[in-house]
Amino acid sequence: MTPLQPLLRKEFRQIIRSRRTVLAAAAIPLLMLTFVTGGDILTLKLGFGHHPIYLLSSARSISASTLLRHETLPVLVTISGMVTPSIIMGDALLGERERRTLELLVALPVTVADVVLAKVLAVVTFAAAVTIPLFAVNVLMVSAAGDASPTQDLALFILLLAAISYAVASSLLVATLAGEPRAANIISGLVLGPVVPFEGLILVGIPGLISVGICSAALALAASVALLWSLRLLSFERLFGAA
Amino acid sequence: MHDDHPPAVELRDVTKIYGRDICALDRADFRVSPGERCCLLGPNGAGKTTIMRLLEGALSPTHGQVKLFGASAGGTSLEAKRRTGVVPQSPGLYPDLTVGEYFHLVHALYGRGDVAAVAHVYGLADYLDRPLSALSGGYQRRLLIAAAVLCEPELLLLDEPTVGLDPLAATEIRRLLVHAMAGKAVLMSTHNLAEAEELCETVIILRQGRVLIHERIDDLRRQAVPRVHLSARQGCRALRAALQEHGVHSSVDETGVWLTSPEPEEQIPPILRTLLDDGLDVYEVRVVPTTLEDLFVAVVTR
Repeated sequence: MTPLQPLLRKEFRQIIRSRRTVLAAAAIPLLMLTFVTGGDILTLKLGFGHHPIYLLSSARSISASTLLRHETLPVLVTISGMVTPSIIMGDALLGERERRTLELLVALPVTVADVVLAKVLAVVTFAAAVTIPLFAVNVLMVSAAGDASPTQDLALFILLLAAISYAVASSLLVATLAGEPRAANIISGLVLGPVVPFEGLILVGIPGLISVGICSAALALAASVALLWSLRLLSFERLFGAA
Repeated sequence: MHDDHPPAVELRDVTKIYGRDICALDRADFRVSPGERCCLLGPNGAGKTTIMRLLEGALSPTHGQVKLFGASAGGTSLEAKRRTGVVPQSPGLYPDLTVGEYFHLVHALYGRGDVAAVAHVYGLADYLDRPLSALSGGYQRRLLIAAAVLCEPELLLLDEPTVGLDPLAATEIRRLLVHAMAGKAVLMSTHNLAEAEELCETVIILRQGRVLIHERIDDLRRQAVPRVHLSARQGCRALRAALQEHGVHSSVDETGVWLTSPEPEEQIPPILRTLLDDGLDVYEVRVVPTTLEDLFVAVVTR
């Protein structure tokens, strides 16, 4: 008998019942993928985007429509993909430690791998359930504005999945490395903070869809590194912050 | 050599160091046999909770081996842990899971147990829909004990099961523990020596991470010399002076004098006769058996 199924049920129940965390985790993707994108499209439609834009950070000029599709949307998708899992995963792992409920869990016949795998699966499922429908709305909005590009949509979808993976893996790494909440906040800032500026540099520096692919690959690689590092260190002792 | 009945609990030369230099356990070595009810005593910082956490698999030893039923406590096999019920010391309780859901989680993880029967025995049948964190302190402790015995374990690990409870709730929990511990190996860490005496038959005394003794409480008590308390109408000083005159060493408290007497039935009657002949109105003679507290203090301050 595998402990995964009952643990997964427990995680889903807890995620669904922690309404404040769920609202906080869903608010930013909602804002980014619908309201901000909608506002940008409206601005373009109202005629503010007819003239080319000269970016301070780049030698070339781009149209406002290209700016939205190739540079703004990838950033919005990345932020949306990272926020939900990092909030939920942080609550699921560090929250268990701070509320001392981890002691209840460790008393049961489960391994640390069972506990973490259940949390990761629950968080990924929840993050996907929140962000993928919002991403679909975003795609519909952009397409309805007359800028349909299935290749770009697919590239952005892969970027979304990569951002979710990176946020989950880095939250796991933070929970594994941080001995106490302040350290967790600092490490969290260090692993999540540089993502958007770094992505911005790639998007501005490399024209075309390939930049989105590079961002996805970079996030997937960073997620793999964070995951492997976490798995190498993972133990109940680490999660307790006693190591 | 193949052993069909390995100890329920075994610590073999276990050292645990936190960080760089905080030594919580120093070459601790003991075994708890199947069916043995053993209490773990020690002052604060002696290493009791560290031992419990090592046995849960929450910590790894820096050196040595920690085993449950012959299997490594921190290993990936959960077979030994499925034979073990654990009552952790004052853990946090989920605000977003109900008592019933928690029992079903425990049931699913152990793969056995009768939730309805255990909830009834432990007085939790009416609380199944209540969030865990909404239970009172006494009921939270009931829940933890009920969850630990739900799987009908062969070994119970109890980490200070009555700490922080009011006397009434603590008495009720002790009553439930008597029921829960029946027929099982038990390792119970506690500060409450009366509780240890009431519930266990063997004791491990720890100090600064070292195991000082592991013996039957009865054997320890037999080794200890009983004390006798005497009171006389003339007061403590007169009584002590009279005893001193007859070569009996004693100490004084507010109400009388204390003597030690290895065989009070043989030694006290002649002393009493002498005191009465001397004109002292002795109105109290009380043999006080050595308590676990006396033994504990004697061992840890040795």
